[in-house]
Amino acid sequence: MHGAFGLGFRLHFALAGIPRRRLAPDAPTIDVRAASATELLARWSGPAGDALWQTTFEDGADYRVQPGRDGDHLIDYAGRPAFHLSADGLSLSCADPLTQPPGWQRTLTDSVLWTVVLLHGRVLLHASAVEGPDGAVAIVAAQGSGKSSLAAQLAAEGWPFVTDDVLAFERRGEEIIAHPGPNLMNLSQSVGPGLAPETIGEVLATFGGPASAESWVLVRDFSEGELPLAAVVLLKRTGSQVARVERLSATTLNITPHALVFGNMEGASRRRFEAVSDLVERVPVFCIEAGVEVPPVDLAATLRTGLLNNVSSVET
Amino acid sequence: MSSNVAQQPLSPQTAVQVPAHVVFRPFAAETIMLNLQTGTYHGLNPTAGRMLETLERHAVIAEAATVIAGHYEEDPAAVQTDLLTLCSGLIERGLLVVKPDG
Repeated sequence: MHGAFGLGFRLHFALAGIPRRRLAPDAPTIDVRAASATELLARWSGPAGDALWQTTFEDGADYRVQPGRDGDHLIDYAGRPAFHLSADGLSLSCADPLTQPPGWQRTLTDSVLWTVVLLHGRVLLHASAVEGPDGAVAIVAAQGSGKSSLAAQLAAEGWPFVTDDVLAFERRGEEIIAHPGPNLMNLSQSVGPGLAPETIGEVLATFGGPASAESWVLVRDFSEGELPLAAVVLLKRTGSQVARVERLSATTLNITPHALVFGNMEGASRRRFEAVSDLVERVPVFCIEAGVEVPPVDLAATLRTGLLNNVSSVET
Repeated sequence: MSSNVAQQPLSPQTAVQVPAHVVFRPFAAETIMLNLQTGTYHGLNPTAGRMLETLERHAVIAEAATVIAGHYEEDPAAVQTDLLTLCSGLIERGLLVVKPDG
């Protein structure tokens, strides 16, 4: 079964980046099918209330998640209906894949799949992650702060890739489980000295203009299935030329700003509070601070030292 | 609703509880409370957090005060006064309510 974010996906057309994975026996399985625009709209029950979420991606394309009267959901992309999720959440129809804009497949694997996960009532972490010796290490940062670059550096140094940008997690007993996402990364072409995207995988496409070009990379070495979440690292950019990592006495408030739910869904605030609190109770939270000039290779070295020794504070 | 309850005078024999629209979790640094009706997060220092947990486990404020005073080896009357002040503050913020039969 193909898997990402803890869900199974039965793919009815070729889609890069959703590998076959071990999944929990009770993981929902979602059929992903191509449909004509007419078929897609025939499945749509019509709008009910306001959009759950809407945004404009960096490439200028609008993205809108609209609940339907029968509990289904329609996702508009680039100004037209592009995806439909059935009321039971188990059938994802994708309109006319061959006629969609160039970024369509990236939108499907980057955004639509985790939209489906949120619509299943789960809580996600806005984080990149790699697999360290004790489990997944999630890197949380503000947009553009370099979490993907740091994750890519750690992947290049041999820590298997877990996810780029969004991490699915859940409490199971006294453990927090991380679910790998697609083995795809968006890497700025100015990632850092010595780290070409080809180091970690195959460049499938390049998006954006010369000043903000991003490589869309199929990562070679990735986690094969769920794994314990071993640490959360908050990456903060400061004016310092020195990278410094320390373990925090964290609370729910450190992580909540980075936890994703659709706020309009029933019970979303309670689920986010419980999920984030469960995580903070069971997983050590670190903070790594460094100026923007500190390259990923130095950040990675500091982080590895801090995590491997589980020390309260390290400077390099 | 909480503002009506807040107008009732608190006494040591008042029973209080965290309402259904409030969730909380104790951590070493502070106890975090979330009022789901307002979406507002609140932080309690470790002492106040322990008081809240003790209030949840005992029938009335006076009983909780006795337990806390024993734990911290403090004057029970002074602890009871602190607890009444804490309860008033939490009730004002919709984070605590007087039990209907309290």
